[in-house]
Amino acid sequence: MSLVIGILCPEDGKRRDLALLAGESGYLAHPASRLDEALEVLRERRPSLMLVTDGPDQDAEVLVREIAAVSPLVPVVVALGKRDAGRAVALMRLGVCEVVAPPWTREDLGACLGKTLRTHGTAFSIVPLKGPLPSGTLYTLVVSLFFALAIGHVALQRQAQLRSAAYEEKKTWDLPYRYPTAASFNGPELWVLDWFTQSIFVHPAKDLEVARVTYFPGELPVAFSVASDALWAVTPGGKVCRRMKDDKLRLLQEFPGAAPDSVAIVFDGLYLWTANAKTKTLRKHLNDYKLTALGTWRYPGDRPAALVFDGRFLWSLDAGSRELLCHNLERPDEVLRRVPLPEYRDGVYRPVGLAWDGEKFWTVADSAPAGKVPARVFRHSLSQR
Amino acid sequence: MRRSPNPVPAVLSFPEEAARRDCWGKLAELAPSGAKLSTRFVIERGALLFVSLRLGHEDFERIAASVTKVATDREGYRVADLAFTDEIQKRRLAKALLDILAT
Repeated sequence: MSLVIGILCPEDGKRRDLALLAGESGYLAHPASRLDEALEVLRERRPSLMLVTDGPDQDAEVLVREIAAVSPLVPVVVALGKRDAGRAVALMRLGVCEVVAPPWTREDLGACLGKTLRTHGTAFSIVPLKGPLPSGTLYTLVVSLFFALAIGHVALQRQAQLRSAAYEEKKTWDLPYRYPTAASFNGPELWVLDWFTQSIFVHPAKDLEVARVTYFPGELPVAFSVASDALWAVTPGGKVCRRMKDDKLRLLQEFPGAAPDSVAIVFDGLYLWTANAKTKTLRKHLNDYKLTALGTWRYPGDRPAALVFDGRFLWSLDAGSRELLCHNLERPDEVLRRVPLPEYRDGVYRPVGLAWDGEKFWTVADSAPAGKVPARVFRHSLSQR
Repeated sequence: MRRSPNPVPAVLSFPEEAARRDCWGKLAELAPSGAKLSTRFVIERGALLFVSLRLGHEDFERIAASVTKVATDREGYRVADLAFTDEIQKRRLAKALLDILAT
């Protein structure tokens, strides 16, 4: 739909020309030869703007005032009969939106009319105007940014690789305590029980820093194992406890006397396994209200210290021979594989705890004699043996 | 920054050697250091010109400026960045703008 404009021009020829040019520019022109006709156009047609000529036979200043008195919000464009910059600026100061210089062309008129409908004021500022960045500077900035990002990305990747390689190379960590008794993985965290401080130390596997320390409530166990839903612990008196894996290790269930003289405990998801150090036996318990023993087998090693279930097999840490034993789940007295631990060959450390992170075995050791040096964690790669 | 309801019109005149008639335009932005000018007339980058305008009741005649950048908008108007070159005129302009912005 075309925008409606009014044209006020006393000369027939010029009025016709202006109406034609406005029509060619896409406007619907309503011409008027006199002021009263123009005011009628203003009232009847409601034009978007008024185009007024200025010359010896018509003073645009007077017309602009008259139009403003009737329709103060209607923008006015003046078509000068004679090019005069001073006159044009004087008219614009009166409130004229645009002034078209002669000769009137379709391009000029169309541009002026279009501009009038999108006019804005002047922004005043006392700070220097901010122009857009020169294209050369912008290009240099973009290229520099690209290279900086690329170099940064490569450097970060390299750093990550080096960190990963350093982590892979590192296989031992000294711990800030000296009397560990058991260890188990809870997701990505290694939990280690220290009997001297009666606390569980939680270490992130990535650096083995101490993430938090939880005082163990109740009777201190000799062994514990973190299962998917709870923590299982066994005390020197043979009492088995099931606790929540929260910060307070709240007690869920107790089984007094369920596993006497046990030094290791693990839950394989279905059955609970314990190792008796005195009788050198492995026991399999049903997960019922009294942990009924389903069977007892001779331990096929020297001195069991810890048990771990890797998802397929039951593994035990033989502290006597310093080996890892892989047991047949159906007949645990049958050893499927023996893995020696050369880290303990010099006798400085004694393995006391065993944990499985889903890929590798970790052992926790105290010194021989106990407490002489800080406890140590070893990470074992069985595939290399 | 503050924007006036209507753009400030300005007469543009040129040095004699340019042999050009005066023309006019409107200022989209105005600061003591320069202005952004919108005009239907042809303006070349690097040209020297003089801007005459009125701020409030104060007239500024022939502020010397150089055209640092020219672009053409959708209506075919030239949008030119002007850098004022006369320090005295710039200071006078700054004072007038401060008065406008302070009121």
